[in-house]
Amino acid sequence: MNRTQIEEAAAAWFAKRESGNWSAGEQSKLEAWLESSTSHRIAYIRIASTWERSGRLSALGAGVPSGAIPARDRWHFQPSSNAPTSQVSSGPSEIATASEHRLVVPSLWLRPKWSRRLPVAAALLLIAFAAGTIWFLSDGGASSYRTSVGALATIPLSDGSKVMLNTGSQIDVVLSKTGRYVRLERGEAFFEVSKDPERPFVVEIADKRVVAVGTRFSVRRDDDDMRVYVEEGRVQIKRLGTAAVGAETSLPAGSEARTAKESLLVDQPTPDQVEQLLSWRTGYLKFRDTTLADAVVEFNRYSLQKILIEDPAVANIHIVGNFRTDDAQGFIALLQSGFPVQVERRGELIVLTKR
Amino acid sequence: MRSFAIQQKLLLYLPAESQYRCAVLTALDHWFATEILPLEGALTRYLSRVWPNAAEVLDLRQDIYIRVYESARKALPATPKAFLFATSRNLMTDRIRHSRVVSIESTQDFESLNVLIDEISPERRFAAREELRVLAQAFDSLSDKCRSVVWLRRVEGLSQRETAKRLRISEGAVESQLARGMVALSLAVFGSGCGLGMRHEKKTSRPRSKHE
Repeated sequence: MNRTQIEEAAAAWFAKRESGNWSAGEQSKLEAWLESSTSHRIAYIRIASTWERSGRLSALGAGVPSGAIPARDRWHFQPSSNAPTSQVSSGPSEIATASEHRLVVPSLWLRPKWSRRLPVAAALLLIAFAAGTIWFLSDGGASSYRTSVGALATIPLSDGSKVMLNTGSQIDVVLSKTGRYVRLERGEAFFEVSKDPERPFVVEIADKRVVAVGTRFSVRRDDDDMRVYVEEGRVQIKRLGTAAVGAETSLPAGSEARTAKESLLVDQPTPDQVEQLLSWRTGYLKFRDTTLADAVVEFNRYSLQKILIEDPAVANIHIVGNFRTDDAQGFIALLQSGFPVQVERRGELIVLTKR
Repeated sequence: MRSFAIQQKLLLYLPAESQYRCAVLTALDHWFATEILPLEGALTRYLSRVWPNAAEVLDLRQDIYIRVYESARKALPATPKAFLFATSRNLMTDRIRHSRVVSIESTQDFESLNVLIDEISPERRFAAREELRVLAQAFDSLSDKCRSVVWLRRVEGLSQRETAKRLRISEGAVESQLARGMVALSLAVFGSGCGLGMRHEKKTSRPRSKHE
């Protein structure tokens, strides 16, 4: 397909999706089409944002009776005398004249023959001034945040929400007029979402989405799977993809969801378990009858010096206690003194075997 | 054995219905729509100015978009505008390296890049009324049928069925007119049509290929 065909196909998909006759099968076909080429996806994004922006046409509806189509050229815009439609820009001054028509504001506007020579900034500023409002396309923009291994960071977002990032994590945040989007690239984050029903807060983990309006929840990513705990409010969990299209589960406060490929496990953790899930925010790891294997997995997230268990008997030791996330050494020392565990350092690795 | 006691265990296989209209666009897509697409007019004009072959500009732009999108998959660039133009320059340099005929003029022109980045900043603050004007103008250039469909669907918020009934055309016609309208409006909204004969191109509409 060439560029124009791709554009038309994207528009056809978009119109089909908006048509009201949309099925799961079509959704997965669309997703497959979008996945098959980045140029498809970009064409679709272009059409979807055109739809979004064309909502502004309703500003023209003033005085038009409902259901009637307004006549052409009834808007109060006037064509400029010299519209340079056919020429390719050759200098900075062309930017000002690139649009063929000008807004007519008699008291402020300048004589037409000046328009081609006006410096860009001045021309555009005048338009902005005349219109009175400046419209920002994005509200707050997009940013990436990351923490290194062992670090913890709190990030205030411009919508009033707060994100706490755990060790070795990365999020990309996009705040737009229609929604708030966070891509959890890796690691774990706790979200305190400020309430805004108009702009849902969406956290993406691979093909899964956690959607909130205003709530507190944590999300942890392990490869393409996730673990979500809702402390307050309620979130929706969705999954895209061919197997279960548009599937959605509602998760109330106090519940935890874990995905494992196609399936989703919903759980009501005990207060103890909740503490284990969320204690990282205070810089502590809490273990309550946790196997050493699981404890080591946790510690390894916070340190570049990894612990390795070479003996299944050691892996099955159950431990209880609170440890600082940055104190793996203290943890090891404690193991050595209180349990039948032998510690051996091999380069960057700390290897645990049975004593 | 894990000692992690699980109360009230509930294994749910995600149901395959509900919410067909769930979002298709990702955070990255929204980033692209809000940070990159608004620069389309400036990018197109820049490419037209520095690239020797005007016929290649839109394909070049598409390749730039793909490169930008693919890089943003790994990490979002901190300064999207600078990144877009740096990517453009790299891509043009690559293309020139691979082509036999090298235009000295074009390679020199890439160096004027920094100036251009500063110049385009007002684009982001396009006045609301200016955008509305461009939109209204593009809207008026649609055919009667297409214009009516776009108005009823987008502004009046009628369903496809209601629109078809009102205009006495088939639902399929409403759907295809809406698609056509969105393609036409997209050219205006992103300011890409300027000076490149795009207005002619969109009118010679090709036979529609069905979703391939």
